[in-house]
Amino acid sequence: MSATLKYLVVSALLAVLLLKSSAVAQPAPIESMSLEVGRPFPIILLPRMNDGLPDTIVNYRGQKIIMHIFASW
Amino acid sequence: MWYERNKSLEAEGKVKTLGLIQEQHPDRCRLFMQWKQMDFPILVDSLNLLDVTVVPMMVLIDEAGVVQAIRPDEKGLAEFVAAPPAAVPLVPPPSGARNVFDMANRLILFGQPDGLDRAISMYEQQCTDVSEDSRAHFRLGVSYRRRFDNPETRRTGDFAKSIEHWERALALNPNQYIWRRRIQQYGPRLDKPYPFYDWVSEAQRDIKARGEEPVPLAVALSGSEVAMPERGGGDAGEASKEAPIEPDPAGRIDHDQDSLFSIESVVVHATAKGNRVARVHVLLTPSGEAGAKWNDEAGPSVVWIDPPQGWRVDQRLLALVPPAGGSFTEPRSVEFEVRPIAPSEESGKAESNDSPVIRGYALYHVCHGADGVCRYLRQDYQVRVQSAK
Repeated sequence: MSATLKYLVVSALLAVLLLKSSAVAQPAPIESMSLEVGRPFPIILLPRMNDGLPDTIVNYRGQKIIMHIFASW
Repeated sequence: MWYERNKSLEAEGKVKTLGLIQEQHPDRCRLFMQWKQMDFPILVDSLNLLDVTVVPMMVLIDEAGVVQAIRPDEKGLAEFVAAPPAAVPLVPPPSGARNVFDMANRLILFGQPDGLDRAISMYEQQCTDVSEDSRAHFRLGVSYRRRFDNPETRRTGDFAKSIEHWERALALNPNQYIWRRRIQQYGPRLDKPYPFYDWVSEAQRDIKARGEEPVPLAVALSGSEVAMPERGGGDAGEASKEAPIEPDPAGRIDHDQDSLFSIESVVVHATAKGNRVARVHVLLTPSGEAGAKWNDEAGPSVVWIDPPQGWRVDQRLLALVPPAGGSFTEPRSVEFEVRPIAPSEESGKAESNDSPVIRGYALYHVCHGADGVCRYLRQDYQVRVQSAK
């Protein structure tokens, strides 16, 4: 491989790497935490309706849970 | 009823019932639970962190915290209840990526008012950096509305910004039912699937009749939240059939030169494409700096509405009704709907532009200052009703 060709290949690789790293640095949309069968229910702290204190599904481990997702409207 | 069935399963030690709601104002659900005499723990996910797209929905979660079924049928529920217990790991399983917004979410859900400002800044930045991040727009809308609902923290434009970001979120993801409902809650009747909180007064009455004190609502219901849906398109709805008399056609009432009241408007468009009806909220806030207060003893304060040619409103004169137990310094609002005049309704007035400007004015009785000077004043406003994207 000639020196010029080597230079071009290395430059191209560097350019790709640079593009990739800049892509990683880009702000990204917020990821989904959606519910899926077979996957753990997301562990997030949410306020309890009656007292506003933080609660999480972890506090109910060891029990079978029937969760009703609903609205009063 | 599912609740009775769950209760008996719970009494047998077979299951635990949990609730999850996405409502902006959870105290309304508390009232609902009190009314229906239901009692189980409910988690509040106003930001919809769990990306729920439809309600109601039942989710079955095993002893290890793993989702075993979503919207199961009767057979699936029975199998879940009868299944041997899942092994509970010592450490909870990982459940998805944490992200930089955990802090913002906690500030919104649990923080002090200044924390809400910080969270709004973080989500504003995200919406600038990733303009098509629909989740960020929705959550920012929730945050603005939360700040608006607290008289200590609200700033001019908060409600308008919440609607703007909710509409943007829905435009980016039109299949998000929860987001659509959040806009429809404040939107025009033609776009409503049902009245959202019309049950509240009946619930309060029933609860009092039982000798209990109803759960107080932190935020009063707005007109749009109790309005009945409009079917068939284009009736006058709540409007009076008699043409109202304009209260100050010649502009003779003194203008509020000292800005004793501020006026802001919020336009909520229909979420359905091609539906050009919009609901307009006009809010008047007494200036704390000027020590301004509503003077209800002197008579009703009102808002007059002048729709542009080719458009009509369901009511042109609306009273700014004092809330029960108000402090005379609280913001008050009126709501009305604006729609293009159909070609058959009035010949020659059917050409409606896409961005009508509604003009009008508020007339209010106000007392202000250390010596409590009371006056009757006018303030003009205009609202541009841009068509929904």
